[in-house]
Amino acid sequence: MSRTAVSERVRLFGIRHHGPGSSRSLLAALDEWEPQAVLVEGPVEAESLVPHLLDPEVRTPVAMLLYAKDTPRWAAYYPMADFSPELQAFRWATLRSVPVRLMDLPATSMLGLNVVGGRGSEAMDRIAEVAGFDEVEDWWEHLVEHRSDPHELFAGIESLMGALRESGMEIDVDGDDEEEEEPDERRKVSSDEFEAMREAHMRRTLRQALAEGYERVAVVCGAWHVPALKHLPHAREDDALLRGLPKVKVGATIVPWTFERLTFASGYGAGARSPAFYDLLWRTPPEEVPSQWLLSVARLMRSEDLDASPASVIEAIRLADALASLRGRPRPGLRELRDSANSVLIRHEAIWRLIGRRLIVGDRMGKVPDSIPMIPLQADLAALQKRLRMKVDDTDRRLELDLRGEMDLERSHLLHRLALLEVTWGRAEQVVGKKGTFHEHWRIQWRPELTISLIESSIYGNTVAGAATARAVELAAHASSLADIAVLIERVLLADLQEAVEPTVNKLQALSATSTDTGELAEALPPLAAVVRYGTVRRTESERVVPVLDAIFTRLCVGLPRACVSLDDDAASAMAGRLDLVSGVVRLFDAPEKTAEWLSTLESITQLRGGHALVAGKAERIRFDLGAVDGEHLALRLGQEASFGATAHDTAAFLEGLLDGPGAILLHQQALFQAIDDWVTGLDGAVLDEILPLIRRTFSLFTKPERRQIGERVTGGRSLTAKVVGIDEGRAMRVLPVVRRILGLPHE
Amino acid sequence: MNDSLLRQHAEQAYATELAELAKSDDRPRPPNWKLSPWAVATYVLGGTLENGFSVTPKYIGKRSLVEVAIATLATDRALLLLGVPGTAKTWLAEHLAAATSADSTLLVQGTSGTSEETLRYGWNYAKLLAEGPSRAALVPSPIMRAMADGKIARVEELTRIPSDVQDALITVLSEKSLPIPELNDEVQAAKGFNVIATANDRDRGVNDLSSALRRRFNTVHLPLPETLEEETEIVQQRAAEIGRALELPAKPPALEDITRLVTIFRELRDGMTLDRKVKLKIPSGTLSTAEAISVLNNGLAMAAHFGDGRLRASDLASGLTGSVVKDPTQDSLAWKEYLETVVKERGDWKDLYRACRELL
Repeated sequence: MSRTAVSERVRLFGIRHHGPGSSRSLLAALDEWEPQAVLVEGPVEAESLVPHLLDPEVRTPVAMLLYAKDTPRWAAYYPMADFSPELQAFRWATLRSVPVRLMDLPATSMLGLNVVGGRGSEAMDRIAEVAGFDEVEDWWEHLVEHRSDPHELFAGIESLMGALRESGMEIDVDGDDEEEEEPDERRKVSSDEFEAMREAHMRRTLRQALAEGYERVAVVCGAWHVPALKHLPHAREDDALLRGLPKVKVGATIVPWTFERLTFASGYGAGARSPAFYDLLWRTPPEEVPSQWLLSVARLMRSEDLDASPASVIEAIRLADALASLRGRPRPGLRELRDSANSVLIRHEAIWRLIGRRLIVGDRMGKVPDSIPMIPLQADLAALQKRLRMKVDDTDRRLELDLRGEMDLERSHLLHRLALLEVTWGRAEQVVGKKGTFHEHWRIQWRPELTISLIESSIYGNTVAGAATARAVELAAHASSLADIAVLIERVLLADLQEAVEPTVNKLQALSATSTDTGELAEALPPLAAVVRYGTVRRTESERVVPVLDAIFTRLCVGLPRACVSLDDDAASAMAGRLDLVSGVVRLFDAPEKTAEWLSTLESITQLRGGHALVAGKAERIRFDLGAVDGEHLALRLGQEASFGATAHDTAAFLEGLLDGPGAILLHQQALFQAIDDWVTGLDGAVLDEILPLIRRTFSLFTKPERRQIGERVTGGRSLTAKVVGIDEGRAMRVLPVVRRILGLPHE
Repeated sequence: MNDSLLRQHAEQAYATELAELAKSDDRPRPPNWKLSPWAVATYVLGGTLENGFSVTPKYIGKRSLVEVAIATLATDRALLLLGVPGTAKTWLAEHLAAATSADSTLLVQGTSGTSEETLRYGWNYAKLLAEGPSRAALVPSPIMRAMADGKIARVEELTRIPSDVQDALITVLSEKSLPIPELNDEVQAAKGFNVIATANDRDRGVNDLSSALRRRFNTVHLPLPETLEEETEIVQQRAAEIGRALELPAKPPALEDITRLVTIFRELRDGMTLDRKVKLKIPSGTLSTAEAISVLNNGLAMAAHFGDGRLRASDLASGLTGSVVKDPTQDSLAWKEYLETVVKERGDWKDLYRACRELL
């Protein structure tokens, strides 16, 4: 293999992604050498994003996002914080009008490949670990302090990485990246092949820059790649590696990122473990870092009403210094600061979680201005968010909407529309009490990956409303069960998607007409009823649903009695649940003719031959609750069920259905109470043993005070006079010798 | 040094190591320190010197804890070692004092009867009456002597000392001076002076430190050993050392015996078997590592004097039962349960099971 050493015209700057120490050394080196072109690791498609990245309105952290236009979930993020060397390289070059090239494998090919085996973590982390540092930045500082000029430092890194690659050291290729094998039609490549392709492309870009005649070319890339760029093999060899790569259409944009997310490995295959601390390292002169950090700890503690005096901060700084010199470090790193804070300042372990969140990882979220290239759907959402004055950030906040107000109603529509698109920005919460009719409570939290979901949804349309409508229509077309479509209708109406109402209602009609399963009909009822009930507040087109709802209700009333025959215990308890569902709806309707229809249905259920006792009991209870029958009737019915014709098991089931609900019924219905009492006391001992668990279960559903009152009534002697039955005198006598001894009486 | 001593101070027992360290130690030493902080760390944690001399570890556990402790001694603040009984607080304090000031004897033992004189100074009353107040009539406390010489003073069981007496330390620690109003004089601390206090946080609340005093201390919390291996190593090493000191003619115990003992202690302490399958009742005693060491030594003594010189299950059983069963009713129930459900089920623990059963 013929190799030409990369001439004096090229310098390789091996960096650690997100390393503030790297950034600082890099800038010093660039200032000193003044390259004419800067090549940075990253796909070429991101080049157009660089000017936007440097927009003064951008607040880091942000990430460059590259995605396949046809399949947006094939995507790669390149997160950047202020302390990222890549961002600093961009800034340095742009300020001096030096051309910037991105030299990694183009996203058009990269996104078309399915890399198996996960991507390697960063070489530096491993080496720092081996060197006995548990924070890479400490190690870097250590390294930098011992080298006088940056050039020497980068040369050192180069030879270190060279030796590592020669020795074949595995750089922690962890396989758990690929949790589940999603069906993926992309070409599979191993991570080794993939790395080879990337490096081939980096060399190709470098060759090109040299061919263009730049005299000083700076290459900024992850340290691991440096040895691969040191020698340029013949262009043909690299061309062979890069032949026949897939080509997908690529979109590119910038999305807000968070410090917390920086801790995960992503596009650069490297995460920063302590972004907030790195940020401090970057912004603060090295000698002030310990005091700044410990002061922040003290401030944080004071804000939590914990003691942290200035004197103790001074002590903590001293201890950190002493620790650093004991450990042979030039100055305290995060580890020393943590140890010292732990010993001097902190008396409660719990505060560490807070310190970790605020001062080590950090809770900052980036921001991008509207001028960033966005797909139309994104732009539409951004405009809506602005108009509706909704804050987009990753703090989990509560949003209370009063739907009587125009603004809040629109906000609600937006959240419901996004939910249909599976952009789950908000989660609706149950609202209890009277407010429920015109209030919605949400928890909203914007996570960066929602941007991907949004981009994925762009196949449905270019506006949020349009896309949500198209998505709802698609869902309606594919819906196969009545319950699904009923829920969908509710969602469509809540999202105020006028154009989707017609197709979904038509589908509902079609499905309900053919459905014979009363269970399904019953379950479809509540969401539809809710739609009709709250329609006027929300100004939805609920009147379209009314006829369908009426039809379903009628069908249910006709079909239910037949469906209650020949049920086993499980089916019966499911059926009892459905009767409750429908009753709830009937109560919601508050329409006399519907109530009458329902009552007559229930009556026929109670009179069924071969009906399950549980269902019958339930039906009687509902009739009682709706005021159709009185306590005397229930007592009579229980008497019938408890008579000789029925087994005790059936009676217990009937009782279970009857008493399912507030136990107060037993306290206020003297006749019913008496009937149960008579039945229980009249049971044969053996039978009682058998059905006792059933009765127990029934009564256990009552609240404690109810049970206590019932118990008081039983023992109060109003209905039951305690009868003393058969004392075993022989056994009772056995205790007497002991009693005698206790009392000191003579033996018999 | 005298071989007939029952127990040697750390600086006597490890004199060779300290001398070797001092010889090869070329790092800067804080004023009046006998070794550099780095060498103190090596002395405590063990290691091999450049000349190949190997230093035995005195404390087995987290390195960073020891480093924080040593770094603290080099700052303005005093060191407070906290932990449940038997976590090597006193042990570590003694070795730190031995390594930094070559003197671990400046010790005040805290009790509920400790008076201010014990912490500050007392009087030789015969002289006081005969000559009136003078420096010659003054009896300095270990702390006063440490201040004068720039050495480390130790206060054991700080929280057992009554609160008002504890607070006598505040002036010492903040002003670094001990006033003697009777003589209109004071003793100012020489460089190198510091205090190592130990306190037991299981009986916390006995006499909790006032926040003013607390502020003068950096706290290092010593945990129970993290892993079975670590704890086994500690027990093995200490038992061997004590065995040597007591001149026990027994053979050193087999590693399995120690592992078995430590396993029992850890399981009962955590209320859970090591495989986390069986929950156990937790006895009331502390079951610390120190307790395990003493059970082992007790067993070795039994084996040496009443057995054939080899440690057998029966030699361990009495010490073991004694240290687990502190409360005759509750603990013996927990112990019996443990024997029946755990010890009995382990195939190669039959001998131990039988030996312990016999004692119940």
